Amino acid sequence: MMDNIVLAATDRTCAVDFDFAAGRFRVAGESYPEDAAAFFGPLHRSLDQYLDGRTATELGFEIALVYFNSSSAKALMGLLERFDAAAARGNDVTITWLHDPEDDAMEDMAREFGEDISHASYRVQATA
Amino acid sequence: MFAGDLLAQRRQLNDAGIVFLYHGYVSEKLLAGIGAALRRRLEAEGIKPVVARTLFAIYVEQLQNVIRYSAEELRGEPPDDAICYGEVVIGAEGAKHFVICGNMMADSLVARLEERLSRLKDLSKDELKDLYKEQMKLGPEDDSKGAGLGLIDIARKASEPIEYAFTPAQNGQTYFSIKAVV
Repeated sequence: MMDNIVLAATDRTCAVDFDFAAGRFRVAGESYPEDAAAFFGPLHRSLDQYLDGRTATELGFEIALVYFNSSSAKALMGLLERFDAAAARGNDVTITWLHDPEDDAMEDMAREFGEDISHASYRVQATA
Repeated sequence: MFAGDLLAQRRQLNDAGIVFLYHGYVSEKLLAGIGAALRRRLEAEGIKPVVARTLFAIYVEQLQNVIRYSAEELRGEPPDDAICYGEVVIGAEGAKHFVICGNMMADSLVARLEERLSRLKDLSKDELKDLYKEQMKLGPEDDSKGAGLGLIDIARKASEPIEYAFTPAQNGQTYFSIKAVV
């Protein structure tokens, strides 16, 4: 089994918790890295490696971002697409996007990202 | 310039509703530090968190554009640590707030940027959303330059059509400024 990826949040990058053994994945905090490709590229590749050939696993991806810049948006979509494709291949995938109940803009963004998700179960939830 | 002149200038800025101004070299390394100062200032001003978040988001997008497209890079710096020169001004106008950014850019880049902006400013919220989604699908996945989404993002976050100006300067450069109102 692949080593988990646990990245502490920095002033410009989100916390990342990829628990491959448990099939639980989470990104949280803020994301506006100097170089989105350098930050998210390895995450995309690790996920590809993990999902390769996998067809019957229960997977959960949780997004709890309070801010992300435009270059992170594309990378985030890349993560979502991978989970959706995994669902299409038979995995039981749940994607949950959590947002501050006062943050309408983030709620709208979460719903917008979900419009292109067609296989995974996708939920937008206000945090308590 | 005397010390008293500087205070007069500060008062002038305050009277003009300006709550934050940065004028100098900008780099990715400075972006976070300047941003942190900005956030504290907005909080101190009592600006609503939702508005403050939007102003900060626009600040990041605008400043990253300055860093990428500014013509006044310090010579000799490696491209990924480029330092560019620009201005960012954030202030209040009646019940609204604005973010204005300015930087010199090469004349050769003006036409394309102007074309993109003139298209953007006439789009409705729905059209901007469609354009954003379309743009997100283009280009390589791991695109460190941000897939050209920044301007669209600014236009979406603004509560009015974005305003911009190109003013020819010298040495093959044009001064570009862009204003977003929230």
